[in-house]
Amino acid sequence: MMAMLTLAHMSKRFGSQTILKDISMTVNEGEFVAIVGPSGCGKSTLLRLIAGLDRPTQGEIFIEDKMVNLVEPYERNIGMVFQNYALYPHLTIFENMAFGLMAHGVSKKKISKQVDEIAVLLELQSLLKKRPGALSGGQRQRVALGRAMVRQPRIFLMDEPLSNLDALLRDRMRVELRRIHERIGITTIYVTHDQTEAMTMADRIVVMNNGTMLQMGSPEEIYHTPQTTFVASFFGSPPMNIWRLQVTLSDVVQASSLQNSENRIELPLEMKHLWQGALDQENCLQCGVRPESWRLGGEKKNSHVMTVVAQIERIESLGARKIIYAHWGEMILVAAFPNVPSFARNSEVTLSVPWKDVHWFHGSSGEAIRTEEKIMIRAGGGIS
Amino acid sequence: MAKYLIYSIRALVAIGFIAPVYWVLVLATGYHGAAYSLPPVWIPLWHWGPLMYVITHTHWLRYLLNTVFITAATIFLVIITSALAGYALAEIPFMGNSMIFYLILGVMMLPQQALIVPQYVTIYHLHMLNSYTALILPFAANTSGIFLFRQFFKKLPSSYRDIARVEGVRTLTYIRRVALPLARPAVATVTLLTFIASWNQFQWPLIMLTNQKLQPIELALSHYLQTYESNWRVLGSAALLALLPIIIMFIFTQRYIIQAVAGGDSGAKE
Amino acid sequence: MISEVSKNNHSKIVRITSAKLLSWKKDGTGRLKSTILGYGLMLPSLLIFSVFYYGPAVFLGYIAFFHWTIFSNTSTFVGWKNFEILFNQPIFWKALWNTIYYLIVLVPTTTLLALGLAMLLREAPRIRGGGLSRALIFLPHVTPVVATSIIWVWIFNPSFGLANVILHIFHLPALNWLESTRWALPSVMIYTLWHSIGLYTVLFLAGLATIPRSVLEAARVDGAKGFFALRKVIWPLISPITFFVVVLCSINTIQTFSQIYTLTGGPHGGAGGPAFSTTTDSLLIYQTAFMYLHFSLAAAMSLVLFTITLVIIIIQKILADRFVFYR
Repeated sequence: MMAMLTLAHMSKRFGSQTILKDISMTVNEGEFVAIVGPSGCGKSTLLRLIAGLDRPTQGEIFIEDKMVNLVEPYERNIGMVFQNYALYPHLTIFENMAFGLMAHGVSKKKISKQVDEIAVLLELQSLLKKRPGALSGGQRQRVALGRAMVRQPRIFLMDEPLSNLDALLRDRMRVELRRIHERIGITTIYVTHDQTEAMTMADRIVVMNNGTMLQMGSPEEIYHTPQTTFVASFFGSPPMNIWRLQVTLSDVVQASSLQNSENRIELPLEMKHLWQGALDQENCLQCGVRPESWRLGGEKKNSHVMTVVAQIERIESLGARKIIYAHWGEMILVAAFPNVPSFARNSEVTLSVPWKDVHWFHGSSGEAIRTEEKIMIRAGGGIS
Repeated sequence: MAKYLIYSIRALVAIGFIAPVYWVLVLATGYHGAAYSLPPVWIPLWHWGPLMYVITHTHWLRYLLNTVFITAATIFLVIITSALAGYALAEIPFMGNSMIFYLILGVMMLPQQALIVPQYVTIYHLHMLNSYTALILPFAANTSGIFLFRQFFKKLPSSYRDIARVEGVRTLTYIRRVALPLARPAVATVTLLTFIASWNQFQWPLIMLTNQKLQPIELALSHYLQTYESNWRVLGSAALLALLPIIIMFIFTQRYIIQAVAGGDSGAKE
Repeated sequence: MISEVSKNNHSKIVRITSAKLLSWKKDGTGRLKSTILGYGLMLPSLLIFSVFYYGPAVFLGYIAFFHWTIFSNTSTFVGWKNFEILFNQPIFWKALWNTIYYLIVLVPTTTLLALGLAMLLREAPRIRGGGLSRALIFLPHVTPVVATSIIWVWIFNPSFGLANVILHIFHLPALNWLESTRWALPSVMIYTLWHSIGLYTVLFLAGLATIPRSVLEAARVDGAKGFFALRKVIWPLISPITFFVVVLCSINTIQTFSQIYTLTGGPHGGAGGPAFSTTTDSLLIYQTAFMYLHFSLAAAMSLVLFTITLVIIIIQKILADRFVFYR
């Protein structure tokens, strides 16, 4: 596969403020890559750097094999879709889509041929004579996409293109965007703050926070082997339970909650190599459990599972599944079950999770511990 | 009761202010010698004879057209220069832009009467005396126009410009085809304010012109007044020529003019 | 595999050259490009401003300190000589006095009347026709000065003008208005008041509109009424706009030229009469330069006017810092 876009050690500073720190990545031809992170994490700035609207303070951008740091945006041959669509309200849809070509003196015949082609593909033919003000949100979204496509770019850059749509339309456009991508196969970089969008649409996901790139990988990788607590808690709904625990060594190794040492679990010695690496200077570690990983029942003696007894506080029924919010000591426990008989509020519940499904993170840095080995364990189907 | 008192006071004051303008009409269309009658005449007789005479038999129409041409040209140029400069100040982070900002603001602070002498000398050395250029070019850029456009362009979403850059649309094309058409309210305001200022020019042409053929109607009126003060009907008719266009314009746009002048939203309220 | 290596080499070369480029270009190219573009767009305006405004402003200083005529290219440095000549001419002092007289009568009158008119228009805004009265009061401001001066020449005519008719109605003695040395300048003031007050009224209205209705209502509940409410509640809130009006009015008043020229210029003699009673600084500058062609003298006078304008603005700024209440 050919590398379409390569970023090498890219940083961006505005004055004394660092927006992006040492970003490196490669995007292959035809790939759909989502850049995800909370607002202010630098993802939009990253997109602007790729587009050439801003210049990096350090590092290089390659499109195919060419260093494009000093290349003007339009020479980079990219198409861009903005959150507010940036359609010019005083021009018709046709004029909006043709504007870039007209400005370059492309012949009228060629313009209308190119615009019509795209209009057919996106089912915009009936809208060409209207102005953006007369269109619905979804139609505008498609027009913005169409305008980006008219110039037949090598790379699509999309900045939160679905954020201005209502939930229902967003779901539909998600499917449609993905379908269009599969049909025309243009390399796409898609910025969003919505983890669902990223998970459902992207071939690969880049997770960002505070101007740094935390992880890049397929949706499965991101979900099953998050490399930091941030990634772990950003993906999945409801998010992963992440607890910071104090580890004490006596006759058995125990991890307990910080405020109440009565809440404790015994750590399995077979997994020593994992949790030991997670300990920080205060002898703390963080362990994470996906809400879906919990199972009802369990016993303390079983060394293959982690068992806790929690106090149910609230139950949400989402039809197909139930979400339980419970207290384990001062810590909140969230568990999701596919249709389980009723739980009573304030009652105690015993929950367990196989140790192999527990994620280990370093106590203070939050970095995941030895992911490769974990995958191996996972592949091996448990510990012997 | 108080309500009606205020209402009548207001009406009286308003009538007082409009009366002198009304009298131009009375004098211009009244009978010969109406100006001298005591008690004064109150009602216009709609004798359009003098006005027709002024239009057909004298140079007044030419003076009026001079004014129209000077005003139109000035408006056209002001919009171009203001839009370009306003765009640069609003959207382009060029080096020294804050210095330029104050330089442009500073023009407003220069007392015009103190500059008139060196300005004349400048025009003289540019060999521009007695030309339309001398009446138009010095007013082809102004601070308030630039700031109005700057303010308006700042309100446009930055993605408009980003898309244009991605599509390789040149800045000038973008300004002409996108920014300027979208800044229609700013164009309207600048047009109105420039219209008023340019139409009412007097001192500048008085100093810069000796060629009667080029003089705007205000200047011609002044010369005429100084020579034939007592020919009230012709004077009134000529004054009417100078007044009518701007008053008609005012009637239709007073709300926006007042809003533009006051700078606030006082014009929008009733 | 081979292609992989060559590709790596290639990108390495690209990277090295790019590093070199970046070392001196970095953000520079973008910055430089936008600077060129920025100045390109500013150019028409900057050219006009520098040729017709800033250039002459600098040139003014030059002319004022040289013996200089427009028709010969010789000029000699004379230092303060022009100012000496100027200060020894009674007409200079007369014009200065007229300017100050004109200023100290007209500025407070205009400000107070404009405030009054604004209050009148603001009261009971639901009465219909408020917008119309405002428009009519503002209208004179957009009319060309000469065209409307003509009618005021007629109004001020001592024998058949409207002004004396009105005085007669109130059983007051008739005046000679523009033809008397005593009343000529006040006549000009009346015209200026009529022509410009709409502008200041509208500015005050905009200022008044920013006062929250609740403040006025609270004052009313506290028993503040009429004049007291104006002084204690409204005044502090509108002092910034008042300051602005006073400054703008002062500058405009100093700049008055057209109406003096037109109203006093009739067949009875040159503008500024009778007997120099309406010769203000701006008129004197005009006459010195363009009727008597003493450009250096006129330039010296302009410099004096420049200074006066500056001093007035500074004084007002100092006063404002003490009395204006900024929210």
